[in-house]
Amino acid sequence: MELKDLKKAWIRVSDESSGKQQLNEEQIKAMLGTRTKSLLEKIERNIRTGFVVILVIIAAMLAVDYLTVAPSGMTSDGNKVPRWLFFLDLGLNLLIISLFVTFLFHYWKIRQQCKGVCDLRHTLTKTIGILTLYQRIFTFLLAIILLISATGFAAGYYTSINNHNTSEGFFLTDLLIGILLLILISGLLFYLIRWVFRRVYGNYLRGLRDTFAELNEVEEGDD
Amino acid sequence: MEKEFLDIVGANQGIIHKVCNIYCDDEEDRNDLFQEILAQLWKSYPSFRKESKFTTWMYRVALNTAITSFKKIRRQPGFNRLSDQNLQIADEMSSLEMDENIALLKQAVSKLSGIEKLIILLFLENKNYEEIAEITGITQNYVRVKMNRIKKKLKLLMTAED
Repeated sequence: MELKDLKKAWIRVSDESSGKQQLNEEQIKAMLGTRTKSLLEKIERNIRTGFVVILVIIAAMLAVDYLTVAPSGMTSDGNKVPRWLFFLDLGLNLLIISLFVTFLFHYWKIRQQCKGVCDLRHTLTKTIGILTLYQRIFTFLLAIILLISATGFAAGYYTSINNHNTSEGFFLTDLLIGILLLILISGLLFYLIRWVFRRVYGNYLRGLRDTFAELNEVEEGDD
Repeated sequence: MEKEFLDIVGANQGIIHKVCNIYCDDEEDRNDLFQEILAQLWKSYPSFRKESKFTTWMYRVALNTAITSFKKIRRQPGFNRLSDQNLQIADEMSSLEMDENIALLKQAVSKLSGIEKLIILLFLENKNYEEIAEITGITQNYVRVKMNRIKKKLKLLMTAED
């Protein structure tokens, strides 16, 4: 049988089959009413929520700093807060904000590549681009959070040395245990969260990249 | 606008069913994908500018959604599973009712890769190279080259199955 004849038969069979699955207007309307968000819509929602939550946290931290510590430059137990700590805090907050701004800019740029309903090639480029960006910002954010905990540890340690008379031996043991714990907790947290992210999105992203490569193979492999 | 949308999508819903039948194995997945495609169509409908045929636009949305479906790909151990899925064109029909050649074609198509499946589906649904190129984003020339390759592959597969 020629492909031309098969084509006719295929259309007949597939039309018959889809005819049996026909839904009426009410059923379609009901389906639309219970629609769930697509992955990209969910990512956009997560970004918006994450952005607002982080801005609120940063604003709250700055407000607490200014209301309780900054006016006198002293902590509640009367210790002087080193000036570099303020700058460090400020620098890290600015780093988080600039990370989000960079992300939003790149996100906007990817979305501008094609508006409305794109062809498959552009849809894949867009989805892969957004997910890769999402993965990157997630890793960066994670690294910054760990950096904050590391600087917090250093700041706490510095204050402790300044305010208490500790013997040399005690200082060294404490320092070693502290660093070890910090590395352990930070490392575990980093790999755990990264593992979760890869488990959720890793296979999906791989699948999309394979599809994209296959589509490009058509362009590059033939002439 | 809702009424207009329901009318036009209702009249062309066969397209969504055909895409779902190709990309999903069981009924639950088919229903999920149908709903996902419907939601995407509704979301994108205001941007439909009638520059292309409604059916071409609908195929574009449906195939984009099916290929990038998070639920579907995430469940797969690797992308190749997409290629190994069986076509479910007429799963309610008994094999006796099905034309033998169509059964062979169905088996052969199920062995094609994801993109090849997409191209052959559009070809079998009487879409011309221009429309296939518009939906996939590859040039007409490459659609033609790819189509020739798929035809040869199908012929081989169907001979082997026979």
